Amino acid sequence: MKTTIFAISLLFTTFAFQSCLFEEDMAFDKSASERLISALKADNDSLQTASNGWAMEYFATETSPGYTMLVKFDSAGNAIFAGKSELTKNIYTTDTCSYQMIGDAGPVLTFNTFSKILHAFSEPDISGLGLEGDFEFVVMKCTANQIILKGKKRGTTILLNKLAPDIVWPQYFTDLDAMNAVLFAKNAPYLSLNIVNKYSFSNGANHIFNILKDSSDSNTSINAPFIVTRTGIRFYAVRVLDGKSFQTFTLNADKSALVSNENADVKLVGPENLAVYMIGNSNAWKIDPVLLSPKVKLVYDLVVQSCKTKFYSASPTLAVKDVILKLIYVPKDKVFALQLSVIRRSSSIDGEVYLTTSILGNEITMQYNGKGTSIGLGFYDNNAGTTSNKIINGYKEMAAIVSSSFTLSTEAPLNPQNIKFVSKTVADTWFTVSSL
Amino acid sequence: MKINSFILLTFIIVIGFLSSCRKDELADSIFDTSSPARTKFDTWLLENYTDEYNIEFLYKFSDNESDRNYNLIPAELEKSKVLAQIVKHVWLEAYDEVAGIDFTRKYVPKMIHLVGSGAFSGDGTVVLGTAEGGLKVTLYSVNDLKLDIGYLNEYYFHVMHHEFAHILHQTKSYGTDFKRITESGYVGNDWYQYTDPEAQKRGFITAYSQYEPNEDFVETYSMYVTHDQTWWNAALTTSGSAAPLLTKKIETVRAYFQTKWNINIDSIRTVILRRGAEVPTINYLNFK
Repeated sequence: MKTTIFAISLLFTTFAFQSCLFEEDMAFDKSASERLISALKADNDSLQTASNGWAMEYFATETSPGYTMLVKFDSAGNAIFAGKSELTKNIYTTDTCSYQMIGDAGPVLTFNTFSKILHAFSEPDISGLGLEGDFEFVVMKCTANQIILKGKKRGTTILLNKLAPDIVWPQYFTDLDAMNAVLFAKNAPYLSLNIVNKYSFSNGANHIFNILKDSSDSNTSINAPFIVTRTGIRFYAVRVLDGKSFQTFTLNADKSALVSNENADVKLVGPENLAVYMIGNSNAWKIDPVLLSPKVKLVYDLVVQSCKTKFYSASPTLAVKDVILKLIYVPKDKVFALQLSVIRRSSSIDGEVYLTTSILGNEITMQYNGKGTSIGLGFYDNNAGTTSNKIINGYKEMAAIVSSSFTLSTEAPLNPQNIKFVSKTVADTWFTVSSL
Repeated sequence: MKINSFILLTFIIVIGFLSSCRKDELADSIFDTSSPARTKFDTWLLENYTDEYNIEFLYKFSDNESDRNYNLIPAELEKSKVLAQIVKHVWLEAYDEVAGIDFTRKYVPKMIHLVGSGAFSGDGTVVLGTAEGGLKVTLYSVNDLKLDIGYLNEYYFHVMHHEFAHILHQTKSYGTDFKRITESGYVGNDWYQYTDPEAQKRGFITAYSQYEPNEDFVETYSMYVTHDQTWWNAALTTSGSAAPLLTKKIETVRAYFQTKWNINIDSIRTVILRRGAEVPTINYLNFK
């Protein structure tokens, strides 16, 4: 009997515990499944609210350069992409694929049919890797104007920034190209950052800066991928140098610096000294046939006409195609040379006379020193040892023009592609050289 | 007394069970149970794959259904539309024609997943297609699709017939005679060190046939039904003194299919080749 009573008591106790089963407080007002479904719908709605789409700032991996794609989502599950990069042969290209918000590792945005714009970053090559980019993204944060995504495989952070309704998609890429040209067109110099220490930011044209502390071993440099935006650049990750953090930079009004949005005193600037830059960064600078004073233009045209006359040929192979005057630096003699090139279809005749060169700040002084290559001296005024045996009218006068003291300036201090020479001593004497 | 205690105990337990029954009203499902929006292509797949064969045709990339050991990309939509029609015409309907649609419905894998790229392993090899447990077939490199039956056989149909044969022999096993034909010739994981002609000289139709008898059996079947007699005769010529071994294998395969499945492999081959030859001239729907 005791055993029976014990058993009955045990059973009642068990029922009592069972009755507590449904009285636990819920941490959330809805189940996990319901909350995920709600999140998927909300995110999908957000994607579609951008009537003109989104600018996707895409990094395939944390060590890859950034690319911009534009994407618009419609209610039928289509994602319309646009891109313009080396992956599209620098041609503005659009393509449509399907997209879906799925419940996976949280709310996941997947682009699940092929787009030649987006999936170019994910397509494996024979090594099995390719660019290793994601095409499925966990939605990390969703606000009215920005959605933060995280690559499902690589974990890279991808931004979707809402486009204003009046932005025209092809123009958006034109603006990016323009910014890229200002910052990184051919032979772009390294940029400098002066905080406590000085740092050089080189190889920007690859959109992965190589950052090196001044006077440090090159092995200590770090790579910092970034993306070009319409207003400047944005590094993939927040960077910290000398205690200053920075990530997003805006090109200032006079285009003399990229200024950090996070720390206004963090600025990336171009070469401090244009003459030094000319010597160090590019050894060939073409005298622009248009951007020069009328006085210099007269002499320039005389040189061109003389070359065409004296090297005239009816043969298409030997006919003069172009005449170019250049300033080139001769490192072994530490002088600039005034080079005259007569360009034919598949060859050229180059002659140089040397100019003793001295630099003081942003000023340069050059003086013809009677030396040069035999062809150059032949062009100048004597025939000794020349093969062309042709004096070029105006070449001597041009050598005299550049034999002066000049003040140098540029309209693009971050990436001086054109440098203006204004004579300090001779009136109405100025010309412009451009990087080759 | 003991009986009374037992009755009392039983009564309490019954009351307890009854008390645990609550009258919960069935609420609406928290999940969206409405039919998804379907494109014309989706509807065609529903009617021609799902309803017809109980096959889910996944042309949209599914990470959960893919092999995460590889970097893969989705298939192009337009290529998927074409391939869906080719697979139905050349593979499913070939078996319908010879063995009846109920046979196809019963044994065919239940999922076909398309992948745009190849599965590159990094050592120079690439996976063209896989089948898992007779349930799922994954077709790779869809974005390079060509309307050429030689290409389609190499990339898709060889592996599909191969895997389908696995399903069949796993359902009804073949005899031990086959395994004994080249019993000492199997090389396991070293199969890739041989070329197909080298394998044929050893009495195997392909290099992979040398892996083990089951692979040999399905490779023999698959290569036979996806190639014409001229190709088979050339393989026999290449095999030289090993030709009788290959002939014995295909005769064993023929007997198996005839006796176990009532399928004449020459008949299925004729149908497969005829349908394959029709690939370039099929009037493909574009679903627009």
